[in-house]
Amino acid sequence: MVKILDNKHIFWQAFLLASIVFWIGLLLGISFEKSRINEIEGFYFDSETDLFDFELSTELVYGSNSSCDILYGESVVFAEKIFKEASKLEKYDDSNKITKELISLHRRYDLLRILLWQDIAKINQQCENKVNIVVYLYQYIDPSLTTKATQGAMSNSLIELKQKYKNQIILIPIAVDTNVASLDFLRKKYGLEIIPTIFVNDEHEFNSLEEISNIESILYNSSDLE
Amino acid sequence: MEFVTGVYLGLMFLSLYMFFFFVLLTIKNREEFFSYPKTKKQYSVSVVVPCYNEEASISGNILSLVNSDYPGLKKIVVVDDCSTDGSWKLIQKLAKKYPKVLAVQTPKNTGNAAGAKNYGAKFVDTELIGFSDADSHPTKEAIGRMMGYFDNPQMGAVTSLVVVRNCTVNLLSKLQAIEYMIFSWNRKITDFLNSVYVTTGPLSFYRSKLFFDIGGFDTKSMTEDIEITWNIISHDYKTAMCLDARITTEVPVKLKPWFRQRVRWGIGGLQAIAKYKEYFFKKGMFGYFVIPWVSLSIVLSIASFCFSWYLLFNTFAARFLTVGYSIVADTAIFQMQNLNFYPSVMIFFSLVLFTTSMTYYHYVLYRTHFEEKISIKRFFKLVFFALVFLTIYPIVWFAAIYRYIRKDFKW
Repeated sequence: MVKILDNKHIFWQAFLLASIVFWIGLLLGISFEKSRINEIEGFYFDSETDLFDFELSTELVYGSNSSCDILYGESVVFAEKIFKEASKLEKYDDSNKITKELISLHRRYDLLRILLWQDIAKINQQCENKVNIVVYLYQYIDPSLTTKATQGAMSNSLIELKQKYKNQIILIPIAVDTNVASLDFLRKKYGLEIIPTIFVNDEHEFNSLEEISNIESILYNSSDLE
Repeated sequence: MEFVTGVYLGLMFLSLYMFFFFVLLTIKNREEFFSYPKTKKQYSVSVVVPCYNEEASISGNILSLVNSDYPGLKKIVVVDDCSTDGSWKLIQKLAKKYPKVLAVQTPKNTGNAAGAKNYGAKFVDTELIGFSDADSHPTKEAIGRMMGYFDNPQMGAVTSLVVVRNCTVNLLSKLQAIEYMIFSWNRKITDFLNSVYVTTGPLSFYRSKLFFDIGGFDTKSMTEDIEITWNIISHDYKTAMCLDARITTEVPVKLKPWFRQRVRWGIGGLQAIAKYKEYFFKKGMFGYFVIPWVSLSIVLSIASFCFSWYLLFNTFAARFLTVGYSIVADTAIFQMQNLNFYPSVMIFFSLVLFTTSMTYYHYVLYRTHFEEKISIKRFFKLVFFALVFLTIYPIVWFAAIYRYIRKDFKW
């Protein structure tokens, strides 16, 4: 009888121990995820400053054709930077399971990318040698299995394109479902209803996987690029 | 937080609770595992051995029992359940040779072990009655070591440690050998709560009066050993396990008979839960521990299986479709940039649980002298056991539930 009385405490002791380990694990997980968010927030702050600088430069040299090369150079560097940050953000987003603050950060990055898209479009209007803008619009929140797979294939294809043409094209992936009003406006303006889609140089839309291989043929100066 | 993450964390908490439950009981009772109560009293004991087509193994069992060093063993009743092989002749021959052995035959095949055991029990008039499977070999000290428990008048049944004899035949038998050890250890742990939930077939003893009072084995149950244990506990008797009473037994070495055996055990477990469901959270350790514990283990096993497969399906289905779509798009099927090396908190939790479980399993095998030395080979066997054997085991539960719903209670 003594034996059973001693061991009866095991029920709450195990519960207590499991709770302690569980909450320690959870808190460590949260702090780990928070540190990732802080890292991305730091990147975002830098990128935002860079964008302001880039916008100011665009304003200052507006109308001067000779400065186009400088602007293109800057835009490419900036686009590269936020592309890398965004892909890191996507990966962190996949791995962050408890905290969901990355969604709001994702929204801010989307906004940043829309601004970049519009700035480069503006530069393209005033400069003779145009830079290729490849905007990739995709579903971010709860895509279906087939949408996820289609986006995976499109993403692979765009990475391949980027690897081939390097700085000759600016790749701008933007999520369509993070509640950015300006993006909704742009989608209406260009009639971009189907998602995912690849929108090249503000003119050509590619929705189906079979068409993707045609992107190269419609790039500006495609013959020079190869 | 996503629903899937919530489910995962819930399962993780339950797993952690079960883990700590076993670990704490192990630590607290570490000196007690191999001790057993010694007795000066000599109980009169009989052992009933049910036999159906066991020509190859029955003599091993009878010889082991005959060689038992327990002086109180009066009778070994070997019940032939109308075997179609040479078992009956062999039993009769052994009965002539050894005076303790009584050979009896059922009037017609009873169709299950419970029927043959109940028939054999009719020939027993000793204080304690034991049952031993025909393919099991008790060591000569086993019976004697189990007797002291019955000094406690509340003790209803005592069971033994079952070790796999044919453990080197193939991977399946090796995995079962590990499983038997770990599960026996966990069963011993429940002994410290006086709630051993199964008195296994290879060798278990019951107080004879109690056995007959509760009507013996339930012939409708697919696992009469679980049913009778629950029946005994529900009558306010205790059950115990003697880890130092070793019995070796044969396990199925082919997948089909193994699966059939496990499904039968599964159905038996479900039958027991259904039969004693009114005791849920009602009657002491039985209602507050045994039934919820067994039920939770089944639910946890199935839920973890479904959850793992849901995650695997989602990941691989998307990958598989992406490959197909990438071919259509005439692009690379994989990009290095797609690799994600950033672990999630779920992976951390899984790793912690996996590592600690492995350590616990190693400790159990070390304490039970499963293998004398810790080797890399044993480590991989254990990893395979935990990652593959236990992971796919819930398939047995699905089959058992399906057959239980269909009331398909064929052996």
